[in-house]
Amino acid sequence: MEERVVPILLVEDDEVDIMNVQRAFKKNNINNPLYIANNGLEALEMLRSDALPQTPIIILDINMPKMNGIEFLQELRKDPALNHISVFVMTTSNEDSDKFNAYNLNVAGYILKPLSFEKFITAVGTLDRYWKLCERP
Amino acid sequence: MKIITTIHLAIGFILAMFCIVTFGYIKQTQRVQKSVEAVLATSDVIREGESAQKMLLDLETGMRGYLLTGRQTFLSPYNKGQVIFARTVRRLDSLTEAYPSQNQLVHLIEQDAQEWIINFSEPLIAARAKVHLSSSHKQYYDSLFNATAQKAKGKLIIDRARKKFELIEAEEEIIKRAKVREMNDSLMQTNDIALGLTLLAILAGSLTAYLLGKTIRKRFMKMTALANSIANGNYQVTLTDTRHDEISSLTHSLNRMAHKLQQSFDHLTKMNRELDQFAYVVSHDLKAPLRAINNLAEWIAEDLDSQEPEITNNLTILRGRVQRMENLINGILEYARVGRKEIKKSTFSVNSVLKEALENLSPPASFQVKIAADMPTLTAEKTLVYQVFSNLLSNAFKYHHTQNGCVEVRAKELENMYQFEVQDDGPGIPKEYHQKVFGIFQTMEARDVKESTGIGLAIVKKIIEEKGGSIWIESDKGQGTTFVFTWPKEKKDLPVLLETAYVS
Repeated sequence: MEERVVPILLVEDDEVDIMNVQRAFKKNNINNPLYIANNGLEALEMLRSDALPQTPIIILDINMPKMNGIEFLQELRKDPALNHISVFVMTTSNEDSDKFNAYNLNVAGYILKPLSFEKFITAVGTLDRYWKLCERP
Repeated sequence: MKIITTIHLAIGFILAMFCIVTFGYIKQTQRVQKSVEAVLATSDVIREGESAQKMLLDLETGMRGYLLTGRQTFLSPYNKGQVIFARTVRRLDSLTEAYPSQNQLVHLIEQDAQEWIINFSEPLIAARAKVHLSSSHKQYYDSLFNATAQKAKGKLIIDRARKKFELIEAEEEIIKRAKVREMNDSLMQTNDIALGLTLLAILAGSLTAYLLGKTIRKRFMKMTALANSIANGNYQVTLTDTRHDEISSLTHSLNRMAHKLQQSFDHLTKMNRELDQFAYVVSHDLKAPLRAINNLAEWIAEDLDSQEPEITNNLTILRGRVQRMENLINGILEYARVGRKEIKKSTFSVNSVLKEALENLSPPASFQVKIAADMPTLTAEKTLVYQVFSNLLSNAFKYHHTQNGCVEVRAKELENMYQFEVQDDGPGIPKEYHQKVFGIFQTMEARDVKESTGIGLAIVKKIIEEKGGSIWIESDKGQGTTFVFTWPKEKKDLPVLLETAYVS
């Protein structure tokens, strides 16, 4: 049985945060192809074009230029072709309002960016187990 | 119209009514006086008439006496009667001046009397006086007597006069009765008018008082409603008042006040939103680079081939400082948030809060925590009370110099508040620092020795003071520390104060 690997779309503007995710993937031996968009608009463009081989799982930052995470989510949920995509919010924002907004837009999880890398690795490890579940036919 | 003008008008109207009544009474008195005078005048006429008739009788009697006896003494009443009669008639003449018919009769009586005297009595008396002189004189007298007296000529004249007196009398009686009736009528009329006007005045007064009272009451009730709704935190209220009086100016002031309050409230809301925004910016935009620095330091340490202890040590310190900076930022955010968000009050037992705090703090098992049995039940913002106890307990554990300290929590009920004590047997705080420790970012030891932000007690003090309580320290170096704080009891009957709006 050929293993289907779900691509991951990381929507993030901070270079270090991108590196952080990449390193975490490496540490957890996650081999899912990682695609990167620097803001909400770019991400929408990628999703609507054929840049991705199949429907990805999205890791979404909230604070971004041009189109922030919440605006992106709103757009995504309005689009009938994209509204089924699983989205994990990954942000520094511990604001209740952001959490409520995100959950109202049907997100699969809300990861608070921890200060230390080690904690992040554990979080990504948890994510990886979830993805494995999704990949099962 | 101004209210005072209305009141003045109403009182003026009532006073005018009473003036009219008084004026009517004065007029009436004058009329009564005139009528009384008129009635008296008729009585005078009747009396004078009677005395004139008596004089006529005197004249007749005197003349007869003289004619019979020829003695001069009988002539004196005759002569006197003439004088008095003339005087009486003159008086009658003046009394009856106002009534031409009566006056005419008086003149006729006078003529009758003159006729009687000139044509009848005087010639007889003159003839009688000369009887004793000669028989021819006697003869003359006799013939005259027979021709006049015997034929009752004199009596006829006097009777005519008497008839006229009767007429006058009867007429005067009629006049008198008419006058009395007139007087009675006008008295009745005046009474009616006075009664009517007084009733009208009373009616007008009561009506004005009622209407004024009603409108004033209604408008004051509206204003009370406005003030109440403002007190309850609803500032978007205005009263419409199209009148231009004293109450209107009060209404306008109230409206202006409500408007100003609304403006301040809007401003406050805006400021709070801005502060929220600021807090958001601080928490994200300041923390993002910190996290990046931390990650990079971690990666450098990972990727570093060199095992030089100084480099790894420096990297560890670097990450420690970053951690501290994040703690400070979180502390500032937390401090800024105290009292800014309105938290729903609930009723809970302090005991449960303490249990929860201890569970979350999980002090070393060697620590002994004693909670008094008589912990009260509070109606307050539970998370705030939790924050206070959590911070105080955490300090007691964190700064204890040994691993087996003892912490005691006690409560005392005062009149308007509860007093809580959190006592430890730690190193104690010298007196000079009792105020200082509550300042923001104030720590007792260098941060490198004990990692702390110096925010906890500042937050505790801010929460307690915002709720109307106070906190102080009873401690000395080496004798442990007791934090004592008061928490006001819930005032159920207190109306919603502006402070609640201020902190929301």
